[in-house]
Amino acid sequence: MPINEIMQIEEGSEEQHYVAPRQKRQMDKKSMQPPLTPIIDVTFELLLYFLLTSTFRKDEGQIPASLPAAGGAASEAPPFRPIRIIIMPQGSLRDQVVYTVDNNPPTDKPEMLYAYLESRAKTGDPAEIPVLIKSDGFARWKFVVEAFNAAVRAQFKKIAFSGDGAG
Amino acid sequence: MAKKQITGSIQEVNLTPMIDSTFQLIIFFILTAQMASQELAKVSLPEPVKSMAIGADPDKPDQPTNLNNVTVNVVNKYGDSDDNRQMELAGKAECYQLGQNKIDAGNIEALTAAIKERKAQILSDKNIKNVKEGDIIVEIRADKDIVFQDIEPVMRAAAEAKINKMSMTALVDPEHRVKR
Repeated sequence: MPINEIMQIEEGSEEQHYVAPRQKRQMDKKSMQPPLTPIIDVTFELLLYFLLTSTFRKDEGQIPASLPAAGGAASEAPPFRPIRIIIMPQGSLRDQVVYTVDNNPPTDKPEMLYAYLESRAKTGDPAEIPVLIKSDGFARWKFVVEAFNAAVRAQFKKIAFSGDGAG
Repeated sequence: MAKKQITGSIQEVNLTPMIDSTFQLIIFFILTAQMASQELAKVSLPEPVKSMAIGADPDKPDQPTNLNNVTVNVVNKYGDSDDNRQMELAGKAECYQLGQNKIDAGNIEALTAAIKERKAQILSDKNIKNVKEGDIIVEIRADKDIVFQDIEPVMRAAAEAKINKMSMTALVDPEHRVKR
């Protein structure tokens, strides 16, 4: 008989051999466990889904500020001469920036900006000296936030934005 | 003899209802998560050097911290994705979003009206106790690449709505975390 035929008979054979009742009961007892495969399947599906779709949210917070009152509070003479921070964008894509703090040389480094502000904060009470941020209309928000953050870091409390876009 | 046959029979646990309920749960969580995240628009936030941003209390991360805040999201077309940004397009604000209310960028009247409406809602909300008009804060949650001239109208609208406190949303610096 060719080998293929033997294989077919063995695989497709539904011939039932006699199984003694005692032996059958023992066989039945072995299969008492509930099938865990579907649970594991679903669990892995879920795990994969969440791993692939989850994006870890970055930790965000608020930097508090004050706003100039509507209707031109600038007309009131401030008791202290305000510190002016001027933000000017640079580059064709305006992806760089130059900060100018009063008469200090312009800088593009946030740490330098902070150093200028900190040295000014030491000259008086930073809680009283107003800081006025004047940003060019085309400066990107991240640079405005950077300047504001530096002022808050230097302990200034009265920080405002000028009403006009360009400085 | 008959008793022995019963104890020997196969007792399979029917898993179909369990899988059904699991899928129901998945659908429920997906839908509720989406509804919750719709309030916070997708933006790529600025990350200043040694950020002074005050985040949620790490001991109580689920406690709401901004009940007094009128949050104005300023969104560009890229959302929270930082990949393949064209800087010219990223600089333009596409819309302002308050809660689920989206207002076209440039429509300052609608923005001012929406801020006033939200302010009135906060003042009349019985769940927020002891809130006065002066306690309300406009929170500007803007994309880092949007130009200042598209964000400045939010400040003007806030001033028009007589809100003189403002906060800016930025990423928290994990190494210099500012305590609440």
